[in-house]
Amino acid sequence: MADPARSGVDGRPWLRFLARRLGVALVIVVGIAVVNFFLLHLAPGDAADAIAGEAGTGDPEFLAALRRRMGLDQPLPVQLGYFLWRLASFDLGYSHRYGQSVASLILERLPATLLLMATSIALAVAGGVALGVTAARFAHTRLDRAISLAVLFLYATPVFWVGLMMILLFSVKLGWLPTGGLYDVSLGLRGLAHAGDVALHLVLPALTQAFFFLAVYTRLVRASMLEVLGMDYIRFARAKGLSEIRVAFRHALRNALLPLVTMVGMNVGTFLGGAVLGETVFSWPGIGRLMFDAVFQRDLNLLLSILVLSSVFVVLANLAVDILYVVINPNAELR
Amino acid sequence: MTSLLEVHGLDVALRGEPDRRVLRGLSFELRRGEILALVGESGSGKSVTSLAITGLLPPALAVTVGRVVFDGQELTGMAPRALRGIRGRRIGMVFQDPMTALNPMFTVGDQIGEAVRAHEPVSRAAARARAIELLALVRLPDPSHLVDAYPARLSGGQRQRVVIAAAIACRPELVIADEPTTALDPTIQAQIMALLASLQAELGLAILLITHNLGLVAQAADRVMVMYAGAKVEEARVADIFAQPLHPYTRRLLAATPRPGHGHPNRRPLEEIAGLVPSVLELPPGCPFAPRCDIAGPACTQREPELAPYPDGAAVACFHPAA
Amino acid sequence: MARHWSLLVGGAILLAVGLMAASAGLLFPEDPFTMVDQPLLWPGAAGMQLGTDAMGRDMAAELFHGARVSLLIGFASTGAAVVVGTVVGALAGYYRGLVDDVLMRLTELFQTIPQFMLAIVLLAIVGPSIGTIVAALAVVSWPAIARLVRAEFMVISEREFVQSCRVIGMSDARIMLTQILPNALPTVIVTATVLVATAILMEAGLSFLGLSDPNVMSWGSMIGTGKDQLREAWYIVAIPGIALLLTALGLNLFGEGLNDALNPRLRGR
Repeated sequence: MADPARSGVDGRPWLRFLARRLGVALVIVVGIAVVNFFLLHLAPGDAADAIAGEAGTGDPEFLAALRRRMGLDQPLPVQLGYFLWRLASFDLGYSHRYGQSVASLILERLPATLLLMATSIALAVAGGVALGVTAARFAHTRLDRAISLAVLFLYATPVFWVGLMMILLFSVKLGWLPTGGLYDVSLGLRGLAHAGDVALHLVLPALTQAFFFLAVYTRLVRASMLEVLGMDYIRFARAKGLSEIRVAFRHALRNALLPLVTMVGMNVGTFLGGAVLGETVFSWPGIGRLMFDAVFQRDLNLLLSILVLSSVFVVLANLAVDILYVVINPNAELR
Repeated sequence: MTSLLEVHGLDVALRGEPDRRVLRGLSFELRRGEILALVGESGSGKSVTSLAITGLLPPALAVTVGRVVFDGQELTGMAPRALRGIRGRRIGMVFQDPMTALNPMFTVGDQIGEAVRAHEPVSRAAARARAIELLALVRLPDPSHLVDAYPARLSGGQRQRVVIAAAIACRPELVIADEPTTALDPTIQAQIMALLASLQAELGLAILLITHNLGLVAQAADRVMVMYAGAKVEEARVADIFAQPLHPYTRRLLAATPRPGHGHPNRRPLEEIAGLVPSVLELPPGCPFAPRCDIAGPACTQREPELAPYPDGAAVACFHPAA
Repeated sequence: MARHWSLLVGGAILLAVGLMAASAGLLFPEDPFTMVDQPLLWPGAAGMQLGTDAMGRDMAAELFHGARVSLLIGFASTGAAVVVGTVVGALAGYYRGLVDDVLMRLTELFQTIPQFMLAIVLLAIVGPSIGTIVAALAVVSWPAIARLVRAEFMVISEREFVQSCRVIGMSDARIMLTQILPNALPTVIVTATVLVATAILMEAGLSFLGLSDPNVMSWGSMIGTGKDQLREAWYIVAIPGIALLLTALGLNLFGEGLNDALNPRLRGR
């Protein structure tokens, strides 16, 4: 049997683990690119039409040049190669409408979405843990049933609709919060005051986005906690004279959090998808809103670029979650 | 010698249904430094006893009648916070399954250390040092490295030693060991019992040893209490009970225990006790053992016998005890 | 009775919505797109029980016709997803090895691309109609079912009665269809019920963004066009939203009730 005295993190297995994970991530990214390539070719007309698209340049010379550049006269596999190469060098094309390269356009809008997403996830996790732990502690009582009922409603509510209703209540009727946007340009605020203004604008969108996942996480934490609280090591912890709070948070929650971490990783893609709706409702200047505009403008190139980038982001997020899981759980194997 | 632990007429029943009792009028005493064994089959109420003493009963059960007194303080009805002060510090507990008693997410040192820090204001470093001492005390190898190991790396016997270390971390006066060796291999069982015996001698512990294994009782205990269907049916000094068991159930238990070296030429087959342990919630009238008893008489199915005192602190609840 | 309340309440809600959808043609025979009265009439005014929208259309008619679309798209897309997902999952879970690896990589790939975004892109390319929306939602939803079915097949195929079928020489297809699938079905049905709710909400989201079949009325598009009137005529947004909420709620309750009924082992969590 392995020497029980040696524990903790060892160098080599970690490197192998990371290398393997990165390898898998890379394969998936290539897969995504291939899927995108075929989506591009799914559109009626050829790819150059799609890319030139709404820019309105029916200019045949431009189109011919574009076709050559994209290698549309070449066989399909060669085209795929060009496509992958361009993707790898972050060449996503140029947008006439916005007057900048698509890559820089997306990068400009990305921080707003990340801010919204991070805040939403944080709210959902914090709320989910609080409600889930409470529900588990008072399992099968009226409080537990009330929480379950509330959670059911949150789960079934359409995100975009509840966003509109929140705007109606808190902005239109009560006037407490702004109706949309990232910040109030007309105020010309700087520094801390500006941050405060952004925070104010962040409240409703982040809350709205968080509702659905709050429901998911509450259920998950409750179920995990109930399972863990029945374990022998909980009884042993109590027998040592530890307080209930310590038992719940240190012993029970730590174990119950593992499925939560995995779940959050799986949800990143859904968060991004929901961002399209949320940012539209709240006029939030992120990539979700950009996508909506792209649909409106029939800008296929922009649409696909956002899709690819979002997918890559999901891959990175999953990677981060995998690493986090292994860090939290000393018993996890570094596969 | 003063009593360390006194249990008077303890009833434990289903919460909200005081008539459905799982423990019926249990009384006993445990003196300082004494090892009292509590013997019975599953369903006899022996585990419930240990949980009831320390206030760790599951939500479905509750103490309805009776008192538990520890060193002059009444534990029944004590405020939870005060009870927590006693639990772990003055009464340590060792549970049956070492594989599940330790939290897989924390190191061995953490889990012993927290037993210390729950009751004494020491720093983490000091608690860790104490943990190393305790690991040595329970005879685990290389304690200064083992203290940072996770439970998954340890064998069953090693984990049980860790559990014992945590149980004695604050030098308690009483250790309740609920089937401490049942989940272990026979060779390891002997080692753990030897450890408990030596710790008892070194630290002057009183031990309430709960088990169904009479072999262990013979080795380790000073006195024995036999339980059946939620009540005590016999109590005596160990030597006495093995020499001359008075209650028919005790006699059958001893006959059913494999014992080495006895009567090679004419090996007696293990004698079973016919029938099943009754559900303690649905007892027939009279002595609960009557249906399975070979010497049951007419009185045995009418009234339940009470505990009658015998010399040397023994007691039997039977209408026809072997004299 | 009380134990099955989820099933009953959920079922009742679904029945109500179903009746709405079924009776739409009878109660509101005219095209819901036609203007019937002044625009922006509040519910109750001038005999319009649910008022009129910005184009003077009857909200009640829109609501009832919208029910049809939601239910149709929800059930059709989930049905397709279940078929595809079950086939993929069954093959992966039964044969394992290389088949499993390949199919799982494919599933993983689809699960990495954000679902809703993919649906948007697909519809932007081929143009939204009831058929394409059903297809797009099916494409996006099948991986979840595949994962589930794979897990079930992996577990069930280890059971003794399946092994004995193999021993007596039953063909693989026969084993999968007649032995394993019926045992996996309860879990699939429960998941599918909740998936219908998700599909309905996704369709509503797509319609809200303008990606709905322009020839039919959808709850999502009602909200989408109504959001400009949020300040004054907020009932235009509220009413279809509540309908969506109740429908999704009903489906979830029904699914929970089914789960309790079909998987008694898991009850009492």
